[in-house]
Amino acid sequence: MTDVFSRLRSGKKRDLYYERDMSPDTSKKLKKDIKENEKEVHEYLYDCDDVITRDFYMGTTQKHEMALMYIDGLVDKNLVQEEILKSLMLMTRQAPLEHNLGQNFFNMVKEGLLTAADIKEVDNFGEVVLGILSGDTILFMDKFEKALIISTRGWEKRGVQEPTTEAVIRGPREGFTETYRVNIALIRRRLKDPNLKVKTIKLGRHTRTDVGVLFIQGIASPNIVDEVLKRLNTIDVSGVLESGYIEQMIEGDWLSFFPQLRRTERPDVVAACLMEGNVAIVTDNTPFVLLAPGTFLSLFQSPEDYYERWYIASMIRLLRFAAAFFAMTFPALYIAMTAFHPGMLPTDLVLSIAATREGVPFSAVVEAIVMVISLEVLREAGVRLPGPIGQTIGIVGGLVVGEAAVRAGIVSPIMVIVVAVNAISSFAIPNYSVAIGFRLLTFIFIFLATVAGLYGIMLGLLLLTIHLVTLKSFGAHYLSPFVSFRFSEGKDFVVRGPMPSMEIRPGYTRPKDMNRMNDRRHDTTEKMEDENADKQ
Amino acid sequence: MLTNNDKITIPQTVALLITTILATGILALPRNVANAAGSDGWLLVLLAGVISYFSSLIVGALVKRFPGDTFIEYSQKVLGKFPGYILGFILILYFIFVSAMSVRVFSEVMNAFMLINTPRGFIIITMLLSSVYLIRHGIEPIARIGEILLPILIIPIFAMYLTALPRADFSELLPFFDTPVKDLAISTIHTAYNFLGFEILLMIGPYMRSPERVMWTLLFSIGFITLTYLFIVVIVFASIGVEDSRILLWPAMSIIRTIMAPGGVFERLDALALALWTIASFTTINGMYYSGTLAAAHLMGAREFKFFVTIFFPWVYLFSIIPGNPLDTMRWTQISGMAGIVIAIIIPAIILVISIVAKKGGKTS
Repeated sequence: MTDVFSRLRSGKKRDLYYERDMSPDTSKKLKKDIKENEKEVHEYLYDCDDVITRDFYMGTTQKHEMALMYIDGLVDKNLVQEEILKSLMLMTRQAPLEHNLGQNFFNMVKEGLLTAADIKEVDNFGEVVLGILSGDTILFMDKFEKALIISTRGWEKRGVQEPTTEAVIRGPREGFTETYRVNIALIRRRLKDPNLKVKTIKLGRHTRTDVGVLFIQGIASPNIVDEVLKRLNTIDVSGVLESGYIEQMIEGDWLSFFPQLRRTERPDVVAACLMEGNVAIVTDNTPFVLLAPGTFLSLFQSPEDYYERWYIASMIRLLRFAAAFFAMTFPALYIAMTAFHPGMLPTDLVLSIAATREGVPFSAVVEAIVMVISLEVLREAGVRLPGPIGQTIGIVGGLVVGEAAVRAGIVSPIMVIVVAVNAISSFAIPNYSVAIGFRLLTFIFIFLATVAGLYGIMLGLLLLTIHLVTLKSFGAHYLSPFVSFRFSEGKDFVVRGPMPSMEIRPGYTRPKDMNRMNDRRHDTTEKMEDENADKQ
Repeated sequence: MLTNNDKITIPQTVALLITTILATGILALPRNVANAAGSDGWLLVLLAGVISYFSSLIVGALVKRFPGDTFIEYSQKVLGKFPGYILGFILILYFIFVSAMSVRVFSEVMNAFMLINTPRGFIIITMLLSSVYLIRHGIEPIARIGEILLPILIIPIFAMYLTALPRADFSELLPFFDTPVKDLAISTIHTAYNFLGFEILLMIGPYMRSPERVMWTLLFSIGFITLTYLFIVVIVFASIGVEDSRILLWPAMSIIRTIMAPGGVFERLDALALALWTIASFTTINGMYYSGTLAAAHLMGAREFKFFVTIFFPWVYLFSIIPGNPLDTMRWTQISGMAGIVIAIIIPAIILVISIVAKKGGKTS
């Protein structure tokens, strides 16, 4: 194939362009001549019309040739004009430089003239090209075999907004954005701790996405940090566009229905998890941050569990577990009860179910499958359509069509209730992708219930438990603290214990420092004299 | 020798023992004790529990005396290569047979109460396949499953039988101490069948993280089982009477059918009960089946036990379809109970005595 293309192509430069490995080469050093450097960079960035080159000179009597290179749209033009061009071209004219600075000229420019904040010295083309592509500005100077990378990144970006997938009533409204640095800053603002470490690596042959691994030294287990870095470094793909790529590449069991890393849009969740010994993986260009190791319990956690009082939080968490159960099994239970074991329901209920099923031509199984599938279609349609239309679809689909189908005698009204409860239950799970996983399991349970009634459902639950028990995420049991249960950990479990009693970090991350609190006895008993004491 | 070096903690061992011992035998227990000792049935359970605990100490002593060795190894060390080999073979046969009987009894209960028209083979094979799926992952997941399922199993059992309390008439338990001592002694042995299951320690003993605490583990497990049995027998006797308990095939199941759930959401609690018996049988099959495959792997000196899990599958199935009808099944479970007494008490006792006399094993060697 390559031969055909190269024969079709004409011109020497074109051949060079297509045959050359375009990945930036750090071993290729910069040259003395500014024009040659420019030419070389242009060879790397051939046919990239968004690359801007700005040649200029500095000084009045002795002219120093210089060149700026950057990508239009990725840099903040104001910054380039004010901090680089203005200070180099205008300011130097007002106070002329000494003559014959020689080799010191470069340092003079770097340390004395440029007013930009973030400057790095480089001597090879690899870093120069990567810098240009990342939105930095490169300053070449004639007669020097080095260049300056000036951080001028500034592009159109979304501001910090309220996270859409994890809304809370009580708690901060800030969510991550698509910009790596902003996201790191949002976490850093919550953890003013020198032990919060950020290790950045680049992933993806073409995207060169910044991926940051964050952990708190002294809490996070070094084994987990090493394992995360090791697995990240094994990733060799052409692109990482979203943290989902990374998640699916580094999780242990990709056949599982359950995600083995927790993902969140909220900096407060990341901060809380870091303090529990988790490792966070922040990916550029996405607001979703991954947390390892993930556990089954974390699928049911919402930040509000910790912001609200513990009775409320515990009750809501219990409700979520119940909701997850119904999201999996409710239609299956209905089928099993009506088709296999009608004797187990109260007689009145069985009679009323039978009455509503009068005239419905399909069996309960067919009815359930058709209804669950149409609900999935409705959900998907509602998500894809723009806001107001999505709601309309929900109303038309859910209310109008549902009502009409019942009146027409195609489905029984009780089946509408069953499927609706099933769907609503799944939406009570805080994690959307997990909720979808549970809804997929619904079909498996419907099948099992059709084959063997309640025994089938029980078998399905057993198999699910076996699968979860054998699942591990970065060395942590996925089902902890359900397994190897310790009472001290039980305070953040199915119920969430009162805050002062949560002295110990959860053990699944094997934190180096178990104590969450130093002073274990919080004396908050009311000792202040009340107002009546004065009157005595 | 085996690559699988997973160790289980003491709570996990307790959970594994309790869930293995607790099986569908519990459903027929009130009938057996009612037939044997009438209203003194509860006393029988208590005696059997105490005797079982003291007999299980023999197994516990072996675990402590031969740390790191399973029954297969120490029987060969103590009795010599060939007799030990024969005993190991018998042990494997026993475990396969007990797994087969457990799954068979479960299928009988299912066919009687829940899935009347479902073929027996379907229930047995699906149950065994789930078990195979778990066992192939090794000892640690089995123990962890026990840990998770134990509270799911125990709490509802107590809750369910407590709902029968308002109708209970405890005068049914009278008169006390009416049975001749000789009858009691014989029946106690039969009742002890229900406490079998601790013999899995012959195989999983060396996998315990702290084998020196095996005696406490046994005391806790068997004590807990005794209390559970006692509770169920007393509730059954008090709610349907000793005479009815004698007639019904599975009295403990039958009274659940008569319980009306508080609030009237469910007409009967069968669904819950059968879900619980599914768990109880499943864990029993796991314990027995795993011990059998482990014994085979040790006997053959194999590096992997997973191979034997697959090989034993058809044999467990074939053994499970030997009995022709439910009553036949009852007879076969009696046979497996007798075999269990020999495997769990008599043979370990012989090995222990010989090893003490011949000064083999222990800390000295």
